[in-house]
Amino acid sequence: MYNTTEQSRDDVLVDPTLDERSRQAFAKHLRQFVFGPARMTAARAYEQRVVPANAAAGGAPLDRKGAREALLQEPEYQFFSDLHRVSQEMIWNSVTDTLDRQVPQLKEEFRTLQATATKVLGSLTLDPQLKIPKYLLAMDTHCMPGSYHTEWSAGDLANGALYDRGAFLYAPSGGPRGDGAGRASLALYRRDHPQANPARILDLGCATGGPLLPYAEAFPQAELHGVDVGAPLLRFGHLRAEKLGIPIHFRQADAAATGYPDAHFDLIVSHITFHETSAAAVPAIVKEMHRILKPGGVFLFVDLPNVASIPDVFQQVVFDGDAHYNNEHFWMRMHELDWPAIYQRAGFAREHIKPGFAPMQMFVPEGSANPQPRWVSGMFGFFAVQATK
Amino acid sequence: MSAPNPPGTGRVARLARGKRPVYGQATPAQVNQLLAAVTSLTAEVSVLRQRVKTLEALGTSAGWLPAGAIDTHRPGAAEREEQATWNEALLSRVFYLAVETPPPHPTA
Repeated sequence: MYNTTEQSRDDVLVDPTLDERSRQAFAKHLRQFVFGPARMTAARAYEQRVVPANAAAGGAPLDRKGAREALLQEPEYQFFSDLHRVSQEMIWNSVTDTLDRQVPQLKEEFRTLQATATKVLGSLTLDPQLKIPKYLLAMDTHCMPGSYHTEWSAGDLANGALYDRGAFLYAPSGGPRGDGAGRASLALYRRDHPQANPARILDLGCATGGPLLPYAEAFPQAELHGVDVGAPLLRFGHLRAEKLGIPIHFRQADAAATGYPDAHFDLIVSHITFHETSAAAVPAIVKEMHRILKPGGVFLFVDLPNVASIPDVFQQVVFDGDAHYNNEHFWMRMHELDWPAIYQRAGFAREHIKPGFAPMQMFVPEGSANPQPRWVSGMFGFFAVQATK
Repeated sequence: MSAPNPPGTGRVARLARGKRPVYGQATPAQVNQLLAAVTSLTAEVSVLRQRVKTLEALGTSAGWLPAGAIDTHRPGAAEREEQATWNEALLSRVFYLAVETPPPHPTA
């Protein structure tokens, strides 16, 4: 059964027509078809043809690279891979019609919000001079046209709305408010720091602010901050946070040069951000996080799993396909980095660096088989590194 | 979702056993034929849409369908589930060649 979660309407700000909703639901379902039956069909081709052929040729057990090379010749994998790319493009394109119609209205709402600045709970600090990091300019991350930073018109919010809606269609299991990753990092933080009550929290690579929502609930007294490079994301996130009545301070900055004062935050979290950076950028970002963290403060990030740790080689190839054709270019290489060494060089003490896992939190919507919506732990864990300064 | 159809599942197979006519790489002419077919289907979708819009317009002018009622309709949980189930079946029908596995020969 496909996931039937609907995005919560109070905070989405974008209201598709019925046709657009149907098209978006179809794109969401197509993705689930791709990762359901199409993936399983390719898995059977792997088990029934690729593995026996390799064994018959006297080859060593296939690793990810060898398995990928063999699978690229198999029609079942070609079909899966082709349709995967098509479904990804369909997800973004299915949202664009809605945006063409509603972005002027979003901009108007944003202008109204700015005109009533005295009533604003959080804040938005943009840097029009910001140089977008090279790793984001090289391609459109996860095939989202324009990536995070492009402004199709002055003062644009479109790509914020596009990301917010498209990311939901991509992963409805992230919940109606797109806060699943925040729930995962928060569960890990609470497990390891049960008494902590951080006064100032930063989300690094905050996008439209979804992962901060569980932190707002868990620590209602905390001052919440989000930093990202994409102005459209931040404008949209700011508008949404104000609409929800949650004070969040958004800032546009490079993760390696955030502009926050030294020793400013009690807790820095980050969600599925590092795999969209680069090997060259990571050490500088970790160093910057160490600088802005208070002594005793915690820096905790969760990101996509290390596929080399998955025993099923076919599934490794499936994830690797995202790196190749879904512009998740740094996913595999991220896991080849020596993270504890990078943290140590940034100033963290070795004994305070803790690599680990955070079980993914998956939303199961209300339906005939599930009378009450609920959150469950998923089958894969996020890769997580946390360190105390 | 449709698992391959092994015997004993009570499900009639969607694929006949036996060799399929597969003639190597698609030629440019065959790709062109496929493009023509997809374009024709797109035209049919356009025709169907026009018919649905006409029904809506006639319904509104006849007074049994308030203007905008369809576009502002928000499917509830049961309706979304019905749509998801239907899409699941639709995709397995459209892509049956890609995801169905021929059943083993009963005497094999």
